[in-house]
Amino acid sequence: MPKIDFLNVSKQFGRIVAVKDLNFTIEDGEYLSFLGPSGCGKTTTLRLLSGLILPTKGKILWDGKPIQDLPPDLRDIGYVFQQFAIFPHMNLYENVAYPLEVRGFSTIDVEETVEEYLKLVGLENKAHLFPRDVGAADLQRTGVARVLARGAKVLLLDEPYGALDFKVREEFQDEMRRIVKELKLTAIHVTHDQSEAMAISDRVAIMKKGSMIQLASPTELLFNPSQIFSAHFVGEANFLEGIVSEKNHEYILVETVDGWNFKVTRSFESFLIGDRVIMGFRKGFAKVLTNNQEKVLNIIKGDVLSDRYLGEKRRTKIHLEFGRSIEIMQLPHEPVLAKGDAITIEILPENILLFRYPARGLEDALEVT
Amino acid sequence: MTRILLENVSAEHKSGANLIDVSMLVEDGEYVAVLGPTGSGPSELLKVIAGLLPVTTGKIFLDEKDVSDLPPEDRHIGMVFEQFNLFPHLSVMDNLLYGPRMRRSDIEKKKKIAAEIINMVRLNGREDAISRELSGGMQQRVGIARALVADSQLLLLDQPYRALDAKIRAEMRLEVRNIVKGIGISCLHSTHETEEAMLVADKIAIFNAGRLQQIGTPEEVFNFPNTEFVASFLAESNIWDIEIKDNVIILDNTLNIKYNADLFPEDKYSRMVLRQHSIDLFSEKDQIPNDWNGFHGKITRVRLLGEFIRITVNVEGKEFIIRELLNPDLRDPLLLVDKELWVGFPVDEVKLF
Repeated sequence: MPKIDFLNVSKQFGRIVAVKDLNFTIEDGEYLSFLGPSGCGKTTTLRLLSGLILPTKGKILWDGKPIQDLPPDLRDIGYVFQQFAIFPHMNLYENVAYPLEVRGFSTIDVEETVEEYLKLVGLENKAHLFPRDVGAADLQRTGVARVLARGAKVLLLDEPYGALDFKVREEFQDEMRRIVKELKLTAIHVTHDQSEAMAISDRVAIMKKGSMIQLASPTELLFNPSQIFSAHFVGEANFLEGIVSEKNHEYILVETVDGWNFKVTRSFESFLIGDRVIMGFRKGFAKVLTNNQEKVLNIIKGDVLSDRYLGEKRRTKIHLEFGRSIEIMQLPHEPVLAKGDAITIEILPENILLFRYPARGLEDALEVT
Repeated sequence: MTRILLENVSAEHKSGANLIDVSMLVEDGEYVAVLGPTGSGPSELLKVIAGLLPVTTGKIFLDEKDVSDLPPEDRHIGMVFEQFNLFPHLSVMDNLLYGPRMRRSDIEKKKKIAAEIINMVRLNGREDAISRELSGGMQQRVGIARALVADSQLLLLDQPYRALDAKIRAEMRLEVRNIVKGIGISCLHSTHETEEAMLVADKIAIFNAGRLQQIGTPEEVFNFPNTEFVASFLAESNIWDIEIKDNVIILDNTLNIKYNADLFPEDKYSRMVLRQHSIDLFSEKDQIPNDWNGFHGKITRVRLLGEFIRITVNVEGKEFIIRELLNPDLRDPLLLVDKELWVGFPVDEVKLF
């Protein structure tokens, strides 16, 4: 159960900067996920920790001791890949036993250890089967058992469920978290699937273009993201540009470029009158107002561009003035709106996220690749 | 614009994924999503229509013409694959004109059409960009543009967004639908994702184990599924074995559940499907509408899924799984565990098979 620190770690491949200035700590026994689009640097970070590649600069500490120059076999790390890496000519038992035999374990020790870990992953009755006779989930379980049997203290999981069907994937996520917590391991998991990261992790690191954007708990990321990209990448949100027009002890007022005025009551303290800001709100947090509800603050008016019924929800796209559009998600019960229908939505002050206007503009802050 | 008719089509793919006795009709200009689990038939259906997988029995008609034995190049179908299949070293424009050049078409005329389509798929200014240097979303738009430049009568999109990141996928889905509907070309789009199918399609064809289970508008198939498979594949569901006595469902000999006997008039049902999103949570019993089912329970588990939250409630030993759209009332969802409350759902949401 080591604690791991990344101190100013960067990795360049030629002129391409894969990750830059990573500074973070993975706590003892923590289940941490790296989440981000393709090419964001999440797998590179995992490979730096495993020792498969070395950093261009910076330090990686394992319980305070630098390990950045150690070869992979001297780090107590187990790597679980999407592609299983199972020997096809060995049965499941032999696959788990192999690394122990290579390391010179006694026959009794091998037997005891293999049985213990096959049981842990629920394969005790399938030990005699060959890889061709079992499904993808059991192949991955075998891979996990083999890594654990070797005595790994830190588990690195690189898109480990990518090859599994949806239902199996979810069972496996729960199982993996149970194992990690039961054995008090530290786990670092790479995924591009936000629901997977949300469901299994103690904390999630959001990555973009080689940088860590935010490291926070799943609920923090969903309800209180500190960065525009986190709010955009985790869940779904709309963003509008505005200026702080008024401030007191209880709230600030933001006037958007379309002329709508919003009272904001959360995390507004550091903003000043005249500040250029981005106002965000979750797509599911907007409320459609009926005609008789006349309000002035915290509303947006527009025309329906499209309203698609999706069974468990509806996606309604709304055209605003100046050619902009936003999208909201609604429960499916209300009648579907027609294109061109006038619509008014309300966003309550406590549901508005406020961000400083990004140095390179909103489009750049939201860019996924 | 083309009308596609399949009559009792069967086919065998070397992977073991088959099509079994598929009959269906796609009208002129219709956008049909073909939905099902991996290997259940959606991709195979598109390959059979394109001529990339031979039929073993049955016939395929494009308009009135039987194309069952025609080679792919004579069917005038544009197909877009998951992996884009562009020439990576060629520019966007050269990728678009590659097919017409091979077929010795009038290139000047095709260039004009290509320029219009490039504008439509929002790649203007990128005509000379080398395709491998474009983002995944842009490459997929080139793939679609190429299929359209080729004078296709019909567009087949085979899991077109699977290789793209979720955010780009979300942006592309409606964008491509609008392009396709704007041109008026008929389109079949295979996918494993229910939301993608519901979002883009005029009609959805749902497959399981090679067989067409149901075809209809998104509203029809979602609200009136004709099999347990369709009901549970379209939305995450609670599925239980049940007994029925005197128009009341008996679950595990303990829970009595009301249902709409007008919708399910027979007495032979043995399975019940209750969609997770159809169940609501209430803090007091009297908040539940009178004509709903309501049960007291305790939350045992909460799972964050991003835009949704899944809550498991134990009701007299039976697990009810509930899916809630993320909302401001669930700001501390993990604190809900062990909370006692009521679960309620309308009788019309009970589906029996």
